[in-house]
Amino acid sequence: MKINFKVILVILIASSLLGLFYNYFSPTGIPLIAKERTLKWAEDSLLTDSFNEVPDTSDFKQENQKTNIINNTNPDTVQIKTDKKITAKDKQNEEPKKVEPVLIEPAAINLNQAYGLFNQNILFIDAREPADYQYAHIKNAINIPFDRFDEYKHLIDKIDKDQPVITYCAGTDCDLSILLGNLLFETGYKRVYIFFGGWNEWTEANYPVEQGAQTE
Amino acid sequence: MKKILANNYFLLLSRLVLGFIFIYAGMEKISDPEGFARVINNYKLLPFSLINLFALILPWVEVTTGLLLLFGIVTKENAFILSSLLIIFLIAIIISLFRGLTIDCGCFGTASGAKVGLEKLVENFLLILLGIQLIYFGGGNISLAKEKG
Repeated sequence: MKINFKVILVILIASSLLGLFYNYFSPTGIPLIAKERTLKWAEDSLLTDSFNEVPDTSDFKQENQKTNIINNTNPDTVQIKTDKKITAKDKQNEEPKKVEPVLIEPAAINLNQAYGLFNQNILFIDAREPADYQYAHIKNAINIPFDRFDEYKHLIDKIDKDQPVITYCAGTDCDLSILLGNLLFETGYKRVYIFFGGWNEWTEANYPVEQGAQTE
Repeated sequence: MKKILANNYFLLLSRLVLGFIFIYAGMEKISDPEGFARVINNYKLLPFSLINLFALILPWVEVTTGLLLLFGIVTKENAFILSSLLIIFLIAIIISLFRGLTIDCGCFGTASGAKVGLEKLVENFLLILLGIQLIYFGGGNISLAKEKG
């Protein structure tokens, strides 16, 4: 068995060039060297701003039970949670100060921030597989597995694009939450937060969870 | 045994099987380079900066070698490349199994959704056997280019 290694080299080089050449002209081409996505951590102030805005979401039509939960955010409970000063200010102005937190990309949040938002009934989206979700998930979270984004499109359409959403997956080892977060952001959601610690941190902290499959 | 393995029809069959599998696998990956890059990233074996390059080149190596194998052109060399790839895949799968990663195999692109597991291990192993057969005996007589050795 004589193997001509020159031939092997030629085949490898030729196909590599073909691949690069194709990628250059392909509409689905990707950069040769991937840009590492650095997650920016959300400042607490950014989140507080979004707390102020939560009451606005109560205007949205209540379409299904899940969105119901989000829309139920009662202005009173929100005000209790937010700083007393802000509440006072809001009362003075007679309408909630509308601060538009401008996110240029999904922002990562830590466990404390996530729990804070959880208490505001902000929508959590579980990006893991349905089986994982069914086993247990963050209380009131909905399930949109990143790998089946298209199948779950009807669920996504029910979420208003102005409302904040938080994506999470298993933990720091998985990137489903980041991928889903980016995808949602590209779809037009303006305030996407990624709870990077995910399920692992959440359960370690013994925060509320629930079991069961998604009822649509 | 050697006679059976060196049988021209058997060699043709091995070439067709390996060739078609690799062409199919390669084309699926070419159609979604971004998805394939993500799959490679999930294996956590390559440095981040190399992932895209790998995702772009690997499918084309698969398709070209697959095509050449199909037609029986420089069969031994192509079988060598494919077997090496298969061995690399095999190692990657074993490492992932040991690490307990439940990730998409990405063997046939991102569409199939097959997970890394024992099944893939066996599949890979069988294909490697075919590859070794071809490296040893060449492409047989039913091919475009006649082997000398």
